[in-house]
Amino acid sequence: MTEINEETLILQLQDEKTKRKAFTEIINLYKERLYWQIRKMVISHDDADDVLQNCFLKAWRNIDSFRGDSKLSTWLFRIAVNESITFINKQKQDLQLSVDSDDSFLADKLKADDYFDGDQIELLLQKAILSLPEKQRIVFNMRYFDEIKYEDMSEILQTSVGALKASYHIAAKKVEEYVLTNSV
Amino acid sequence: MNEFEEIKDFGTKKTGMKVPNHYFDDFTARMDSLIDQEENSTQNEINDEEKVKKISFKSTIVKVKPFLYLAAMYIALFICFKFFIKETDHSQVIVQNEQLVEEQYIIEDAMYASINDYDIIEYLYANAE
Repeated sequence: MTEINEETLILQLQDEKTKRKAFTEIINLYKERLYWQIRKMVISHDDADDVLQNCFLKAWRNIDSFRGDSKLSTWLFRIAVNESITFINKQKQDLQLSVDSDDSFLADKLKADDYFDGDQIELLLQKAILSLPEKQRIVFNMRYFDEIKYEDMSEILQTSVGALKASYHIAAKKVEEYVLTNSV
Repeated sequence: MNEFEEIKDFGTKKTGMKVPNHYFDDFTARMDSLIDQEENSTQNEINDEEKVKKISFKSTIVKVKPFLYLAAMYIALFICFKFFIKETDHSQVIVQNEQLVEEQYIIEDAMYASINDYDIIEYLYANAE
């Protein structure tokens, strides 16, 4: 089996003849990881599916502008995060909520989602995460669930490593407090 | 560990979230067809734009035509007007000249009218000496 590496993929993306095939390869490689990143942000499966499609479409439309200055995964994650934030903000607008308010309105979506079968602890944990401010929520999800390195996270979110560590620390404290306060 | 192996080895902590059966198996094909649609519509848009450009050139000419006719009409009117003004000036000069000739006769008539018999006798005496 031919080993795929990022450099080969980027070269294939820059050639019109191989571009389309290379992009299909990218979809295959990143669909699952990006899906879970988005799903933890938007909560419902249907919304995550929409956002993931938009994310890949946006990547395809802008693939010519990708010159390999950052890692392909970083570039895709950045698109996924931005698309998720845009989607959530639009939902907040529809519900006439302030853009600065937390995302706890998504807790109802989680309970109603057919594709959530978590137990009480998992539900409580998700509710605790949803009570966090947006940036802290993204950092907490990336670090706690996906175990993304701070250096990679720094490139994706364009924030310093120090600030991300502080953000995660504060978020973890808040989640812990929420769980302790609200557990039966 | 290869970067792409790392990608597959993630998210060991449970979230309680799940996906429909075969969701990820079908996703690539679904995404591929979406991109194909996007490509086709982009190509159609390019073709439409080219058509619109051709049509818009023709329609521009059609739109401009009445204005061109109007402009031509104004130019024709202007030329006619200019010609008329010149003709008028020329006739005025003739009239002025005729007036001058008439005025000279009037002065001569007036001069002759002011000479009486006494003036003629005085003139004859003066020239006889």
